[in-house]
Amino acid sequence: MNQGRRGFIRFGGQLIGAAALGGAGWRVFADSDSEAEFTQPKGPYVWRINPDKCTFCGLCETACVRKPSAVKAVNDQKKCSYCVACYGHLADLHVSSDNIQSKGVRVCPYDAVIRKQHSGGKDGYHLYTIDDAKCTACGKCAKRCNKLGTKSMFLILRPDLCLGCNRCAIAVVCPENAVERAHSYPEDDFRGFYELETGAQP
Amino acid sequence: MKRLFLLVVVLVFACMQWLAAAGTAEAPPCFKIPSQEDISSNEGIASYREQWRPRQYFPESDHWIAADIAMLAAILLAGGVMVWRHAPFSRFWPLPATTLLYFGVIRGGCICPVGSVANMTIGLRHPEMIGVSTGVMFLLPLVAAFVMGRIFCVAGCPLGAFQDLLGGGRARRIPALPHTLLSGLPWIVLVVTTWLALRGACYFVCLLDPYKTAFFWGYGWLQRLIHMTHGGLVEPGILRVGDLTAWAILLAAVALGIRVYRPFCRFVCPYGVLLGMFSMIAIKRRHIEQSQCVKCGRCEKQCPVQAIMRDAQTNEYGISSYRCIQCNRCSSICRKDGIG
Repeated sequence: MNQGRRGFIRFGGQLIGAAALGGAGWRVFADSDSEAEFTQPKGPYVWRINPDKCTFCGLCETACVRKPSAVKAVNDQKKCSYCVACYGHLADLHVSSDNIQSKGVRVCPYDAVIRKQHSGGKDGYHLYTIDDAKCTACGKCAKRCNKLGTKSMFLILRPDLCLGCNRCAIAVVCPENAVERAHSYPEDDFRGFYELETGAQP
Repeated sequence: MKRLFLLVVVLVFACMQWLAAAGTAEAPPCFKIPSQEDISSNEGIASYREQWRPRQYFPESDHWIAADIAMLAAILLAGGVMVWRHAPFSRFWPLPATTLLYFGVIRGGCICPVGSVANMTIGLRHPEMIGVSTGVMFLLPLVAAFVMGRIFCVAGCPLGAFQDLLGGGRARRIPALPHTLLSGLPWIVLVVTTWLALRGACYFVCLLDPYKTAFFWGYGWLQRLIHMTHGGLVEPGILRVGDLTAWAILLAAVALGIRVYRPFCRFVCPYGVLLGMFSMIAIKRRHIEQSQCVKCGRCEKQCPVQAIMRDAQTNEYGISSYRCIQCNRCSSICRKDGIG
Protein backbone atom coordinates (compact mmCIF):
# COMPACT_ATOMS: atom_id res chain seq x y z
CA MET A 1 0.00 0.00 0.00
CA ASN A 2 1.19 3.47 -0.87
CA GLN A 3 2.50 5.07 2.31
CA GLY A 4 1.74 8.61 1.17
CA ARG A 5 -1.86 7.83 0.28
CA ARG A 6 -2.32 6.15 3.64
CA GLY A 7 -1.00 9.20 5.43
CA PHE A 8 -3.27 11.43 3.42
CA ILE A 9 -6.33 9.36 4.29
CA ARG A 10 -5.31 9.41 7.94
CA PHE A 11 -4.85 13.16 7.86
CA GLY A 12 -8.31 13.52 6.35
CA GLY A 13 -9.68 11.29 9.07
CA GLN A 14 -7.98 13.40 11.72
CA LEU A 15 -9.52 16.54 10.28
CA ILE A 16 -12.96 14.94 10.27
CA GLY A 17 -12.46 13.65 13.82
CA ALA A 18 -11.33 17.03 15.11
CA ALA A 19 -14.25 18.67 13.38
CA ALA A 20 -16.67 16.14 14.90
CA LEU A 21 -15.29 16.68 18.41
CA GLY A 22 -15.27 20.43 18.05
CA GLY A 23 -18.72 20.49 16.52
CA ALA A 24 -20.22 18.30 19.22
CA GLY A 25 -18.57 20.39 21.94
CA TRP A 26 -19.74 23.63 20.39
CA ARG A 27 -23.27 22.32 19.95
CA VAL A 28 -23.50 21.17 23.56
CA PHE A 29 -21.65 23.91 25.40
CA ALA A 30 -22.41 26.96 23.29
CA ASP A 31 -24.91 29.31 24.84
CA SER A 32 -28.27 28.57 23.29
CA ASP A 33 -29.85 31.86 24.36
CA SER A 34 -30.21 32.87 20.74
CA GLU A 35 -32.93 30.25 20.32
CA ALA A 36 -35.88 32.40 21.24
CA GLU A 37 -38.37 29.53 21.22
CA PHE A 38 -36.74 28.11 24.32
CA THR A 39 -38.08 30.22 27.12
CA GLN A 40 -37.73 27.90 30.09
CA PRO A 41 -35.45 29.16 32.82
CA LYS A 42 -32.10 27.49 32.85
CA GLY A 43 -31.62 25.04 35.63
CA PRO A 44 -30.14 21.64 36.06
CA TYR A 45 -32.16 18.86 34.55
CA VAL A 46 -33.47 16.49 37.18
CA TRP A 47 -35.92 13.64 37.43
CA ARG A 48 -39.19 14.87 38.83
CA ILE A 49 -42.72 13.66 39.37
CA ASN A 50 -45.40 15.39 37.38
CA PRO A 51 -48.14 15.80 40.00
CA ASP A 52 -50.81 16.09 37.34
CA LYS A 53 -50.13 12.50 36.34
CA CYS A 54 -49.21 11.03 39.72
CA THR A 55 -51.81 8.74 41.25
CA PHE A 56 -49.91 8.14 44.50
CA CYS A 57 -49.76 4.42 43.87
CA GLY A 58 -46.75 4.15 46.16
CA LEU A 59 -44.42 2.35 43.77
CA CYS A 60 -41.83 5.11 44.28
CA GLU A 61 -41.32 3.81 47.78
CA THR A 62 -39.82 0.52 46.64
CA ALA A 63 -38.68 1.15 43.07
CA CYS A 64 -36.00 3.74 43.80
CA VAL A 65 -32.45 2.42 43.96
CA ARG A 66 -32.07 4.35 47.17
CA LYS A 67 -33.55 2.97 50.32
CA PRO A 68 -35.39 4.91 51.63
CA SER A 69 -36.56 6.38 48.40
CA ALA A 70 -35.45 9.75 47.04
CA VAL A 71 -39.15 10.53 46.78
CA LYS A 72 -40.72 12.38 49.70
CA ALA A 73 -44.20 13.68 50.41
CA VAL A 74 -44.63 17.42 50.93
CA ASN A 75 -47.51 19.64 51.89
CA ASP A 76 -47.95 22.83 49.89
CA GLN A 77 -48.79 25.42 52.53
CA LYS A 78 -50.23 27.74 49.90
CA LYS A 79 -52.93 25.22 49.14
CA CYS A 80 -53.47 23.63 52.53
CA SER A 81 -56.72 24.42 54.33
CA TYR A 82 -55.16 24.12 57.79
CA CYS A 83 -58.02 21.88 58.97
CA VAL A 84 -58.50 20.79 62.55
CA ALA A 85 -58.32 17.19 61.44
CA CYS A 86 -56.43 16.40 58.28
CA TYR A 87 -57.26 13.65 55.82
CA GLY A 88 -53.58 13.12 55.23
CA HIS A 89 -52.93 12.93 58.96
CA LEU A 90 -55.78 10.86 60.40
CA ALA A 91 -57.29 7.67 59.10
CA ASP A 92 -60.58 8.53 60.77
CA LEU A 93 -61.57 12.16 61.22
CA HIS A 94 -64.28 11.43 63.78
CA VAL A 95 -62.11 12.34 66.72
CA SER A 96 -62.62 15.35 68.88
CA SER A 97 -59.86 17.90 68.51
CA ASP A 98 -58.64 17.23 72.06
CA ASN A 99 -57.93 13.60 71.28
CA ILE A 100 -56.33 13.94 67.85
CA GLN A 101 -52.77 14.11 69.10
CA SER A 102 -53.14 11.23 71.55
CA LYS A 103 -55.76 8.89 70.12
CA GLY A 104 -56.12 9.76 66.45
CA VAL A 105 -55.30 6.84 64.15
CA ARG A 106 -52.63 8.03 61.77
CA VAL A 107 -52.64 7.50 58.04
CA CYS A 108 -48.88 7.47 57.90
CA PRO A 109 -47.41 4.15 59.02
CA TYR A 110 -44.30 6.01 60.19
CA ASP A 111 -46.12 8.94 61.79
CA ALA A 112 -44.27 11.39 59.56
CA VAL A 113 -47.10 13.92 59.26
CA ILE A 114 -46.58 16.60 61.90
CA ARG A 115 -49.57 18.57 63.20
CA LYS A 116 -48.94 21.91 64.81
CA GLN A 117 -51.41 24.47 66.09
CA HIS A 118 -51.14 27.83 64.42
CA SER A 119 -53.92 30.07 65.71
CA GLY A 120 -57.52 30.08 66.85
CA GLY A 121 -57.28 27.58 69.68
CA LYS A 122 -57.93 23.88 69.46
CA ASP A 123 -60.57 24.31 66.77
CA GLY A 124 -58.62 26.91 64.83
CA TYR A 125 -55.99 26.60 62.17
CA HIS A 126 -53.39 23.87 62.21
CA LEU A 127 -50.24 23.46 60.19
CA TYR A 128 -49.32 20.15 58.65
CA THR A 129 -45.81 19.35 57.55
CA ILE A 130 -44.11 16.09 56.69
CA ASP A 131 -40.98 14.96 58.44
CA ASP A 132 -38.74 14.00 55.54
CA ALA A 133 -36.51 11.92 57.80
CA LYS A 134 -39.42 9.58 58.51
CA CYS A 135 -41.18 9.72 55.15
CA THR A 136 -40.67 6.71 52.87
CA ALA A 137 -42.83 7.97 50.00
CA CYS A 138 -45.63 5.45 50.40
CA GLY A 139 -47.95 8.23 49.31
CA LYS A 140 -50.81 7.28 51.64
CA CYS A 141 -51.18 10.80 53.03
CA ALA A 142 -51.05 12.42 49.61
CA LYS A 143 -53.53 9.91 48.22
CA ARG A 144 -56.11 10.68 50.92
CA CYS A 145 -55.48 14.40 50.74
CA ASN A 146 -56.03 14.39 47.00
CA LYS A 147 -59.04 12.10 47.12
CA LEU A 148 -60.90 13.72 49.99
CA GLY A 149 -59.13 16.88 51.07
CA THR A 150 -57.80 20.06 49.52
CA LYS A 151 -55.17 18.40 47.30
CA SER A 152 -52.26 20.16 48.96
CA MET A 153 -50.07 17.12 49.63
CA PHE A 154 -48.09 15.54 46.85
CA LEU A 155 -44.97 13.55 46.17
CA ILE A 156 -41.74 15.10 45.02
CA LEU A 157 -38.56 13.52 43.78
CA ARG A 158 -35.91 15.33 45.78
CA PRO A 159 -32.99 16.31 43.54
CA ASP A 160 -30.64 16.40 46.51
CA LEU A 161 -31.39 12.75 47.28
CA CYS A 162 -31.74 11.57 43.69
CA LEU A 163 -28.70 9.88 42.20
CA GLY A 164 -29.78 11.05 38.78
CA CYS A 165 -29.58 7.62 37.20
CA ASN A 166 -29.74 7.69 33.46
CA ARG A 167 -32.29 4.94 33.62
CA CYS A 168 -34.43 6.01 36.57
CA ALA A 169 -35.81 2.92 38.26
CA ILE A 170 -38.95 4.79 39.28
CA ALA A 171 -39.57 6.06 35.77
CA VAL A 172 -39.34 2.48 34.54
CA VAL A 173 -42.07 1.17 36.83
CA CYS A 174 -44.30 4.24 37.06
CA PRO A 175 -47.66 3.18 35.58
CA GLU A 176 -48.66 6.74 34.71
CA ASN A 177 -45.31 7.81 33.21
CA ALA A 178 -45.36 10.60 35.73
CA VAL A 179 -41.61 10.61 36.32
CA GLU A 180 -40.01 12.82 33.76
CA ARG A 181 -36.87 14.78 33.23
CA ALA A 182 -37.43 18.47 33.69
CA HIS A 183 -35.82 21.60 34.98
CA SER A 184 -35.31 21.94 38.68
CA TYR A 185 -37.99 24.15 40.25
CA PRO A 186 -38.85 25.06 43.79
CA GLU A 187 -40.35 21.76 44.80
CA ASP A 188 -43.52 22.85 46.46
CA ASP A 189 -44.84 25.22 43.86
CA PHE A 190 -44.59 22.75 41.03
CA ARG A 191 -48.32 22.34 41.16
CA GLY A 192 -48.56 25.88 39.94
CA PHE A 193 -50.45 27.54 42.74
CA TYR A 194 -48.56 30.74 41.88
CA GLU A 195 -49.84 30.60 38.35
CA LEU A 196 -52.85 32.60 39.47
CA GLU A 197 -50.70 35.27 41.05
CA THR A 198 -47.78 35.62 38.70
CA GLY A 199 -49.03 34.05 35.53
CA ALA A 200 -45.84 32.01 35.33
CA GLN A 201 -46.15 28.67 33.68
CA PRO A 202 -44.45 25.92 35.61
CA MET B 1 -91.47 -15.84 67.22
CA LYS B 2 -91.11 -16.23 63.49
CA ARG B 3 -92.05 -12.60 63.02
CA LEU B 4 -89.50 -11.48 65.59
CA PHE B 5 -86.81 -13.51 63.84
CA LEU B 6 -87.67 -11.92 60.51
CA LEU B 7 -87.55 -8.50 62.11
CA VAL B 8 -84.10 -9.24 63.54
CA VAL B 9 -82.87 -10.42 60.14
CA VAL B 10 -84.19 -7.28 58.46
CA LEU B 11 -82.62 -5.13 61.14
CA VAL B 12 -79.28 -6.89 60.79
CA PHE B 13 -79.40 -6.36 57.02
CA ALA B 14 -80.20 -2.72 57.50
CA CYS B 15 -77.30 -2.38 59.92
CA MET B 16 -75.00 -4.19 57.51
CA GLN B 17 -75.94 -1.82 54.75
CA TRP B 18 -75.27 1.08 57.02
CA LEU B 19 -71.95 -0.41 58.05
CA ALA B 20 -71.00 -1.13 54.46
CA ALA B 21 -71.87 2.43 53.50
CA ALA B 22 -69.70 3.72 56.32
CA GLY B 23 -66.89 1.49 55.15
CA THR B 24 -66.83 2.52 51.51
CA ALA B 25 -67.69 6.20 51.47
CA GLU B 26 -66.05 8.40 54.04
CA ALA B 27 -68.63 10.05 56.23
CA PRO B 28 -68.31 13.82 56.20
CA PRO B 29 -66.03 15.07 58.94
CA CYS B 30 -67.52 16.58 62.04
CA PHE B 31 -65.68 19.83 61.49
CA LYS B 32 -65.88 22.35 58.70
CA ILE B 33 -63.02 22.50 56.23
CA PRO B 34 -61.98 26.15 56.13
CA SER B 35 -62.72 27.67 52.77
CA GLN B 36 -60.24 29.87 50.93
CA GLU B 37 -62.28 32.91 52.01
CA ASP B 38 -62.06 31.86 55.66
CA ILE B 39 -58.31 31.56 55.38
CA SER B 40 -57.78 34.87 53.63
CA SER B 41 -60.05 36.68 56.08
CA ASN B 42 -58.15 35.36 59.09
CA GLU B 43 -55.17 37.63 59.42
CA GLY B 44 -52.79 35.28 61.18
CA ILE B 45 -53.09 32.33 58.85
CA ALA B 46 -53.35 34.55 55.75
CA SER B 47 -50.06 36.23 56.53
CA TYR B 48 -48.49 32.85 57.25
CA ARG B 49 -49.64 31.61 53.86
CA GLU B 50 -48.44 34.80 52.20
CA GLN B 51 -44.99 34.58 53.73
CA TRP B 52 -44.50 30.86 53.27
CA ARG B 53 -42.10 30.01 50.51
CA PRO B 54 -41.60 26.55 49.12
CA ARG B 55 -38.24 25.07 49.71
CA GLN B 56 -36.03 24.35 46.76
CA TYR B 57 -33.76 21.32 46.75
CA PHE B 58 -30.71 21.42 44.57
CA PRO B 59 -29.32 18.39 42.78
CA GLU B 60 -25.70 18.68 43.75
CA SER B 61 -23.13 21.36 44.08
CA ASP B 62 -20.96 22.43 41.18
CA HIS B 63 -17.98 21.28 43.22
CA TRP B 64 -18.91 17.69 42.49
CA ILE B 65 -19.08 18.41 38.77
CA ALA B 66 -15.68 20.09 38.92
CA ALA B 67 -14.32 17.17 40.94
CA ASP B 68 -15.67 14.64 38.42
CA ILE B 69 -14.09 16.45 35.50
CA ALA B 70 -10.80 16.98 37.32
CA MET B 71 -10.71 13.33 38.35
CA LEU B 72 -11.37 12.06 34.83
CA ALA B 73 -8.81 14.44 33.35
CA ALA B 74 -6.21 13.45 35.95
CA ILE B 75 -6.75 9.74 35.36
CA LEU B 76 -6.58 10.15 31.60
CA LEU B 77 -3.43 12.25 31.91
CA ALA B 78 -1.76 9.74 34.22
CA GLY B 79 -2.80 6.92 31.90
CA GLY B 80 -1.45 8.81 28.94
CA VAL B 81 1.92 9.31 30.61
CA MET B 82 2.11 5.63 31.52
CA VAL B 83 1.23 4.53 28.00
CA TRP B 84 3.76 7.00 26.59
CA ARG B 85 6.51 5.66 28.82
CA HIS B 86 5.51 2.02 28.24
CA ALA B 87 5.05 1.37 31.92
CA PRO B 88 4.54 -2.33 32.60
CA PHE B 89 0.95 -3.45 32.99
CA SER B 90 1.54 -4.42 36.60
CA ARG B 91 1.92 -0.74 37.48
CA PHE B 92 -1.39 0.27 35.99
CA TRP B 93 -3.56 -0.90 38.86
CA PRO B 94 -3.73 2.40 40.80
CA LEU B 95 -5.61 4.01 37.92
CA PRO B 96 -8.48 1.52 37.59
CA ALA B 97 -8.56 1.22 41.37
CA THR B 98 -9.03 4.99 41.69
CA THR B 99 -11.66 4.89 38.98
CA LEU B 100 -13.54 2.09 40.67
CA LEU B 101 -13.39 3.84 44.02
CA TYR B 102 -14.27 7.32 42.84
CA PHE B 103 -16.63 6.86 39.89
CA GLY B 104 -17.94 3.51 41.03
CA VAL B 105 -18.40 3.78 44.77
CA ILE B 106 -18.21 7.45 45.73
CA ARG B 107 -20.20 8.74 42.76
CA GLY B 108 -22.44 5.71 42.36
CA GLY B 109 -21.33 4.74 38.85
CA CYS B 110 -23.74 7.09 37.12
CA ILE B 111 -23.31 8.96 34.96
CA CYS B 112 -20.43 7.26 33.17
CA PRO B 113 -19.06 8.02 29.69
CA VAL B 114 -20.52 4.76 28.37
CA GLY B 115 -24.04 5.74 29.33
CA SER B 116 -23.43 9.30 28.20
CA VAL B 117 -23.63 8.14 24.59
CA ALA B 118 -27.41 8.32 24.90
CA ASN B 119 -27.26 11.64 26.77
CA MET B 120 -24.98 13.07 24.11
CA THR B 121 -27.34 12.01 21.34
CA ILE B 122 -30.14 13.83 23.11
CA GLY B 123 -27.78 16.73 23.81
CA LEU B 124 -26.89 17.14 20.16
CA ARG B 125 -30.55 17.57 19.37
CA HIS B 126 -31.55 19.54 22.45
CA PRO B 127 -28.39 21.20 23.84
CA GLU B 128 -30.30 22.49 26.84
CA MET B 129 -30.96 18.96 28.04
CA ILE B 130 -27.35 17.99 28.68
CA GLY B 131 -25.33 19.12 31.64
CA VAL B 132 -21.73 20.27 31.61
CA SER B 133 -20.49 17.21 33.48
CA THR B 134 -22.17 14.81 31.06
CA GLY B 135 -20.83 16.63 28.02
CA VAL B 136 -17.29 16.70 29.36
CA MET B 137 -17.55 13.08 30.47
CA PHE B 138 -18.41 12.16 26.92
CA LEU B 139 -15.89 14.35 25.10
CA LEU B 140 -12.79 14.11 27.31
CA PRO B 141 -12.03 10.38 26.71
CA LEU B 142 -12.60 10.93 23.00
CA VAL B 143 -10.07 13.76 23.01
CA ALA B 144 -7.67 11.45 24.84
CA ALA B 145 -8.32 8.75 22.24
CA PHE B 146 -7.65 11.28 19.52
CA VAL B 147 -4.22 11.87 21.02
CA MET B 148 -3.12 8.46 22.25
CA GLY B 149 -5.79 5.84 21.74
CA ARG B 150 -8.16 4.19 24.18
CA ILE B 151 -6.44 5.22 27.41
CA PHE B 152 -9.88 5.65 28.91
CA CYS B 153 -10.62 1.93 28.58
CA VAL B 154 -7.67 0.80 30.63
CA ALA B 155 -7.54 3.64 33.14
CA GLY B 156 -10.74 5.65 33.41
CA CYS B 157 -13.67 3.32 32.81
CA PRO B 158 -15.43 2.06 35.95
CA LEU B 159 -17.02 -0.79 34.00
CA GLY B 160 -13.67 -1.88 32.61
CA ALA B 161 -12.06 -1.60 36.02
CA PHE B 162 -14.79 -3.79 37.49
CA GLN B 163 -14.25 -6.42 34.80
CA ASP B 164 -10.50 -6.27 35.34
CA LEU B 165 -11.01 -6.72 39.07
CA LEU B 166 -13.11 -9.87 38.73
CA GLY B 167 -11.70 -12.16 36.15
CA GLY B 168 -9.53 -11.83 33.10
CA GLY B 169 -6.73 -13.91 34.54
CA ARG B 170 -7.68 -17.09 32.70
CA ALA B 171 -9.14 -15.48 29.63
CA ARG B 172 -9.35 -17.47 26.44
CA ARG B 173 -8.81 -16.35 22.89
CA ILE B 174 -11.86 -16.42 20.71
CA PRO B 175 -11.47 -17.86 17.19
CA ALA B 176 -11.15 -15.22 14.52
CA LEU B 177 -14.50 -15.57 12.77
CA PRO B 178 -16.77 -15.52 15.85
CA HIS B 179 -14.63 -12.73 17.22
CA THR B 180 -15.19 -10.62 14.12
CA LEU B 181 -18.90 -11.31 14.20
CA LEU B 182 -19.16 -10.49 17.91
CA SER B 183 -17.17 -7.31 17.35
CA GLY B 184 -20.01 -6.13 15.15
CA LEU B 185 -22.41 -6.12 18.09
CA PRO B 186 -21.23 -2.77 19.54
CA TRP B 187 -22.10 -1.12 16.24
CA ILE B 188 -25.63 -2.46 16.48
CA VAL B 189 -25.83 -1.32 20.10
CA LEU B 190 -24.57 2.12 19.08
CA VAL B 191 -27.17 2.49 16.35
CA VAL B 192 -29.99 1.23 18.58
CA THR B 193 -28.86 3.46 21.46
CA THR B 194 -28.79 6.63 19.39
CA TRP B 195 -32.04 5.74 17.68
CA LEU B 196 -33.88 5.05 20.93
CA ALA B 197 -32.34 8.11 22.61
CA LEU B 198 -33.57 10.31 19.78
CA ARG B 199 -36.99 8.71 20.04
CA GLY B 200 -36.87 9.52 23.74
CA ALA B 201 -37.73 5.94 24.54
CA CYS B 202 -34.97 4.75 26.81
CA TYR B 203 -31.29 4.69 27.59
CA PHE B 204 -30.45 1.46 25.86
CA VAL B 205 -26.82 1.18 26.99
CA CYS B 206 -27.78 1.58 30.62
CA LEU B 207 -30.28 -1.21 30.09
CA LEU B 208 -27.49 -3.50 28.91
CA ASP B 209 -24.96 -2.54 31.56
CA PRO B 210 -24.91 -5.40 34.07
CA TYR B 211 -22.38 -3.87 36.43
CA LYS B 212 -24.30 -0.84 37.68
CA THR B 213 -26.00 -3.00 40.29
CA ALA B 214 -22.64 -3.50 41.95
CA PHE B 215 -21.87 0.22 41.81
CA PHE B 216 -25.17 1.19 43.40
CA TRP B 217 -24.62 -1.44 46.02
CA GLY B 218 -21.19 -0.10 46.88
CA TYR B 219 -22.57 3.42 46.86
CA GLY B 220 -25.34 2.36 49.24
CA TRP B 221 -22.87 0.88 51.68
CA LEU B 222 -20.75 4.01 51.55
CA GLN B 223 -23.82 6.15 52.27
CA ARG B 224 -24.70 3.85 55.12
CA LEU B 225 -21.25 4.26 56.61
CA ILE B 226 -21.54 8.03 56.28
CA HIS B 227 -24.92 7.87 57.94
CA MET B 228 -23.55 5.79 60.81
CA THR B 229 -20.73 8.22 61.48
CA HIS B 230 -22.19 11.58 60.52
CA GLY B 231 -25.93 11.10 60.34
CA GLY B 232 -27.96 12.59 57.55
CA LEU B 233 -31.31 12.40 55.91
CA VAL B 234 -31.17 9.29 53.81
CA GLU B 235 -30.24 6.25 55.78
CA PRO B 236 -30.05 3.43 53.30
CA GLY B 237 -30.84 -0.02 54.39
CA ILE B 238 -28.62 -2.75 53.06
CA LEU B 239 -29.16 -1.61 49.54
CA ARG B 240 -31.41 -4.07 47.81
CA VAL B 241 -30.41 -2.67 44.48
CA GLY B 242 -32.33 -3.82 41.51
CA ASP B 243 -34.08 -7.15 41.66
CA LEU B 244 -32.96 -10.75 41.52
CA THR B 245 -32.77 -10.57 37.73
CA ALA B 246 -30.27 -7.72 37.90
CA TRP B 247 -28.11 -9.66 40.31
CA ALA B 248 -28.37 -12.82 38.21
CA ILE B 249 -27.27 -10.91 35.12
CA LEU B 250 -24.40 -9.40 37.09
CA LEU B 251 -23.30 -12.84 38.25
CA ALA B 252 -23.56 -14.21 34.71
CA ALA B 253 -21.50 -11.32 33.38
CA VAL B 254 -18.86 -11.85 36.04
CA ALA B 255 -18.81 -15.59 35.32
CA LEU B 256 -18.42 -14.92 31.62
CA GLY B 257 -15.65 -12.46 32.44
CA ILE B 258 -13.56 -15.23 33.98
CA ARG B 259 -13.09 -16.91 30.61
CA VAL B 260 -13.66 -13.98 28.24
CA TYR B 261 -11.61 -10.87 28.82
CA ARG B 262 -13.85 -7.80 29.27
CA PRO B 263 -16.95 -9.20 27.54
CA PHE B 264 -18.92 -5.99 27.92
CA CYS B 265 -16.17 -3.73 26.59
CA ARG B 266 -15.49 -5.86 23.54
CA PHE B 267 -18.91 -7.06 22.51
CA VAL B 268 -21.42 -4.57 23.87
CA CYS B 269 -19.96 -1.15 24.63
CA PRO B 270 -21.05 1.41 22.01
CA TYR B 271 -18.69 4.00 23.43
CA GLY B 272 -15.84 1.64 22.55
CA VAL B 273 -16.84 2.01 18.89
CA LEU B 274 -16.40 5.77 19.09
CA LEU B 275 -13.16 5.46 21.05
CA GLY B 276 -11.89 2.92 18.55
CA MET B 277 -12.73 5.16 15.61
CA PHE B 278 -10.83 8.05 17.18
CA SER B 279 -7.94 5.70 18.04
CA MET B 280 -7.62 4.79 14.38
CA ILE B 281 -6.84 8.40 13.52
CA ALA B 282 -4.95 9.07 16.75
CA ILE B 283 -1.85 11.23 16.63
CA LYS B 284 0.23 8.64 18.44
CA ARG B 285 -0.70 5.07 17.63
CA ARG B 286 0.78 1.91 19.05
CA HIS B 287 2.64 0.04 16.35
CA ILE B 288 5.19 -2.75 15.92
CA GLU B 289 8.63 -1.83 14.65
CA GLN B 290 9.04 -4.36 11.88
CA SER B 291 12.83 -3.94 11.96
CA GLN B 292 12.93 -5.09 15.58
CA CYS B 293 10.27 -7.77 15.36
CA VAL B 294 11.49 -11.37 15.32
CA LYS B 295 7.93 -12.71 14.89
CA CYS B 296 7.98 -14.72 18.08
CA GLY B 297 4.23 -14.13 18.50
CA ARG B 298 4.39 -13.56 22.26
CA CYS B 299 2.57 -10.25 22.00
CA GLU B 300 -0.22 -11.82 19.98
CA LYS B 301 -0.74 -14.44 22.68
CA GLN B 302 -0.51 -11.84 25.41
CA CYS B 303 -2.94 -9.34 23.96
CA PRO B 304 -6.21 -9.73 25.92
CA VAL B 305 -8.41 -8.00 23.38
CA GLN B 306 -6.95 -9.80 20.35
CA ALA B 307 -5.80 -6.56 18.76
CA ILE B 308 -2.49 -8.01 17.52
CA MET B 309 -2.82 -10.13 14.40
CA ARG B 310 -0.48 -11.67 11.91
CA ASP B 311 -0.92 -10.71 8.32
CA ALA B 312 -1.35 -13.95 6.36
CA GLN B 313 0.47 -12.65 3.27
CA THR B 314 3.40 -10.65 4.61
CA ASN B 315 3.70 -12.69 7.80
CA GLU B 316 4.10 -9.46 9.74
CA TYR B 317 2.41 -8.67 13.04
CA GLY B 318 0.24 -5.59 13.24
CA ILE B 319 -1.79 -3.85 15.94
CA SER B 320 -5.39 -2.85 15.36
CA SER B 321 -5.71 0.65 16.82
CA TYR B 322 -9.45 0.16 16.86
CA ARG B 323 -9.28 -2.74 19.30
CA CYS B 324 -6.20 -1.87 21.34
CA ILE B 325 -7.04 -0.66 24.85
CA GLN B 326 -3.49 0.52 25.58
CA CYS B 327 -2.94 -1.88 28.45
CA ASN B 328 0.82 -2.11 27.76
CA ARG B 329 0.88 -5.89 28.13
CA CYS B 330 2.55 -6.32 24.74
CA SER B 331 5.26 -3.74 25.33
CA SER B 332 5.96 -5.32 28.73
CA ILE B 333 6.47 -8.76 27.24
CA CYS B 334 8.36 -7.90 24.06
CA ARG B 335 12.00 -8.86 24.46
CA LYS B 336 13.15 -6.88 21.45
CA ASP B 337 11.57 -3.60 22.57
CA GLY B 338 9.75 -3.66 19.27
CA ILE B 339 6.48 -2.03 20.24
CA GLY B 340 6.40 1.72 19.84
